[in-house]
Amino acid sequence: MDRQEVRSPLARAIGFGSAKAGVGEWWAERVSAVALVPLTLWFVASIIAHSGSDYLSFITWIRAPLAGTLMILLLMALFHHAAFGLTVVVEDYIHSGAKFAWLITVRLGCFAFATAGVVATLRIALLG
Amino acid sequence: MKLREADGTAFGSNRPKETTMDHKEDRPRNGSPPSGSAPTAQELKGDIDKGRTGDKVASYDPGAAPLGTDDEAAGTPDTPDRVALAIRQELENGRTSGRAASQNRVGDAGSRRPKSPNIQIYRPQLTSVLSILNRITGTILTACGVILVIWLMAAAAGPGAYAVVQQAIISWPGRIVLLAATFAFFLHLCGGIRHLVWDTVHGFELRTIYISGWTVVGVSIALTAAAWVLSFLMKG
Repeated sequence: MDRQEVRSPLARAIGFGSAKAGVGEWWAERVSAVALVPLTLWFVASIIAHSGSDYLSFITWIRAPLAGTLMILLLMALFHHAAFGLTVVVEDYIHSGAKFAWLITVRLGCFAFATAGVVATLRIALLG
Repeated sequence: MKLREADGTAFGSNRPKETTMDHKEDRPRNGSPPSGSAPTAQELKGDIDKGRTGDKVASYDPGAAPLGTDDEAAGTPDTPDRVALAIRQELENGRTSGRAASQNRVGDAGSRRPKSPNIQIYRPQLTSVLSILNRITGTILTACGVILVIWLMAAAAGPGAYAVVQQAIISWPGRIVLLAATFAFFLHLCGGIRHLVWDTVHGFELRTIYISGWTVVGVSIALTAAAWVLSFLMKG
């Protein structure tokens, strides 16, 4: 007989054994990491290329369809990746009751900043 | 079968001692051994099994079975004052985590007990330092992401707001933060690529781990320097 059938659902949940959902998170963190390699390198190279340039040239840069698209992709991948990483940091180092407040803050904060960044980029690209 | 016999013997030999402990249930629990008698390791084991040390519920703990007996077998039994010290410390832990013990929470030892992996007694190694740096730089880079969003929002708001943020960035404190952020970025990037290689189950030999570790450090420093030199060259 399958050993898991002998144990009650509660016994399987408490203490040992995973929720069997960890692989999805692990994989998503890797996918976002792979996406961030070219996106961040593009961003750093662009910033270097725009060293000392003024407001207008910066706006013109973001307005180019490719730059705007890459900036939005960067923001989404960055905060997606940050949410995973910071969640692990909070889970590993904060053991007080504040842990849950931090987990919620990390998740919602990353979502909020990604959205704010995307909206700002679209405003520059479409309205600016 | 042989294993079961061995187990049976072990339990059998322990049972009487456990029963002796039951008689001591009524002795005052003020954290010090009963006066006038030399405490033994078995008394401490009894305290552990009664859940008085606070890190376990009251239950027979086979893991505590070798307590004292190994030293006895080796011909160097613990002296009574050593045992008394151990009992005092264990029961002190039990008192500080009394609430945890009363709530039947297992594994929540006293706050004074050092936490594994006892980081304060280990010599830092390249592997451990890079491991924690990957998390620290990741946290720093999230803050940089927030600054990026503020920067974009300022640019979207107009030239005035953009000028304010730009002034802060090119100020000396801003430049130092930016330099640190650049190094944090390259360290996290190279460390992350190292992690992705590990995810393919490659590069786990000790020698390879140290080679890749020092490569991460060297390449990060080189890329940071290159980025800033290029930036100054672009600025003209």
